[in-house]
Amino acid sequence: MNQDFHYYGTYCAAILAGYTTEESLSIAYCANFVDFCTRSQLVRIKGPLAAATSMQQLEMMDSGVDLISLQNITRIWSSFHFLPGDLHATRRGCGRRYLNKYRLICNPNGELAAATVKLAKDKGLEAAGIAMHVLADTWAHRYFAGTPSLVINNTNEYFYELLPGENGFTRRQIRFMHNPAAEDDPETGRYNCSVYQPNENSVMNLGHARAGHLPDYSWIRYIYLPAWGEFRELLKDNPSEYMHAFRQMVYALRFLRGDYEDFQTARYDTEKVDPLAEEITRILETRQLNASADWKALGEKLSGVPIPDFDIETHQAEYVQADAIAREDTLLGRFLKAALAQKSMVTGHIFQSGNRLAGFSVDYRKKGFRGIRDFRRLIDEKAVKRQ
Amino acid sequence: MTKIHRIWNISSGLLILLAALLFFLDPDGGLRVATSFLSLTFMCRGVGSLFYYLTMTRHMVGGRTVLYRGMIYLDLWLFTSSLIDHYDLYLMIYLAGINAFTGLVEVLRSREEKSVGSPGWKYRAAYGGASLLIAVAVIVGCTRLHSIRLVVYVYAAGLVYKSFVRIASAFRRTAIVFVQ
Repeated sequence: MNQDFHYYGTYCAAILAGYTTEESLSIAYCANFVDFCTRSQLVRIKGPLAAATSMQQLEMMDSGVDLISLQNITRIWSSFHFLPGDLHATRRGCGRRYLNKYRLICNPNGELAAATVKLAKDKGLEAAGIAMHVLADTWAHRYFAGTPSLVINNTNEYFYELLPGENGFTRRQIRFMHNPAAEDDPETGRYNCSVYQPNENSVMNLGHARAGHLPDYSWIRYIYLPAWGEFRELLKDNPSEYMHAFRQMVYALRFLRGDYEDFQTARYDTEKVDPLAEEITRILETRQLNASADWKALGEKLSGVPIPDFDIETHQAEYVQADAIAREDTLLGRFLKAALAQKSMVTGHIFQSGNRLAGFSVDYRKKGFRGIRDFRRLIDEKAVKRQ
Repeated sequence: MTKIHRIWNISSGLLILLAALLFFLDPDGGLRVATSFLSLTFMCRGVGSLFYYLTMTRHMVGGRTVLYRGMIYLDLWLFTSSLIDHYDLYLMIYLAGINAFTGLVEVLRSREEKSVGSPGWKYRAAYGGASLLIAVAVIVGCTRLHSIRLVVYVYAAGLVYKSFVRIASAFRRTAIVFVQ
């Protein structure tokens, strides 16, 4: 998903869930900031590097294919953009090495999706924003894994867009190109994707890179052969997926606000969203590379106030100028703490499932603090709460 | 990282360091070892590709290409091992290519870091520039000065760097703390 959905879409969901305009703006900022909180960004603001929630293209190019780099990449992308749907999935005839990758395939309504939303409960607007990003991406990025893997994430020339017409849908083959400077062209069906790399662990095989930005467009429907799919066609109906995502976000935000006792997977809000369903469907189905203007208009209609454009620097000065203790209580300080908690939780679950692709996780309750120092913030927070 | 991984990183780092010292002490013998080593990498890639096919890509759409690739690598291994005495050209191309690519990536990274105000951009720019210079030195050394020793020294210096990185990585904190 792109800024249109992560920022303006999340803002609309938060307003519908009952948050105030200021609260909704903070949630939306944090949901979108997940795509910008890279290691380079953290170096710039002198934040904890382990809290990175995304990677720039050049950072990925810079990453090696050594064990530590791969684990770092997997932690970031699995925790925030490709949340695994089933860490215990099985498949006949496949060895452990294959299954470890297969089990990281992203899907909505998994155990980790519920854990993500519950982790954000009572943790502030920043944690809610992160959870909304993760939740939304489980729908957009489903069927791809947040780890470099040719055998899971590769696609081939069998890739067709379904174009709606008067007599149903017609197929048009998608022509992929590898020119990062060129824009996708929905009219001619030419889209960018990463170059085929036969190396299993090449970053070119991370997530949906081989399918380009198609999973991030709300209007597109396509059929393809996923590398893991045993030659069975798979239909991805993004307008439907995105509507599910939006409804689930409203439901999750209502849970976080206290409207519901528990968060359950496969539950979607109808009460608040149904009156707007037609308008939202129209936005989702409009063939455009950026739907920000439409989502913004809807958000402003719902809240009655103008929504400022997303500016990455909005909260940076507050964080950078505060002293070491005070900065923890700024919006960015709380965001980074929530990001560390999310990464800690997802890595912990992957490790406990016997999968080492996201690296090692040390259970603090059993073994005390042993690991990357940045995570000490989570312990200190617990100690403060206990007092 | 497991304890075995750490021990492996330290011991393999020391072995690489030892190999680099041998190259410095005996460049001519080192060249033959280096070229044999590059030939062996084809064999390792071939075996690796076959293993990759058997364990992973046989479950993948279009995965049989990896099987064919493995067979081609093994064929290349047999072919290059018969050309071992004339292999210095390949060594030069390999070294020049890898340093030029690294240099280019580092320079691009430094520009990126500079644009976001990161203080590390100067180090990256210097490292990238040095890598590009090494690539040029290797090409000039081989084609103009006809000195293959320069290539061996560059190769050995690269090994020293790799060994230090490998040993240092064994001491890094890598575990994530799971706080429930």
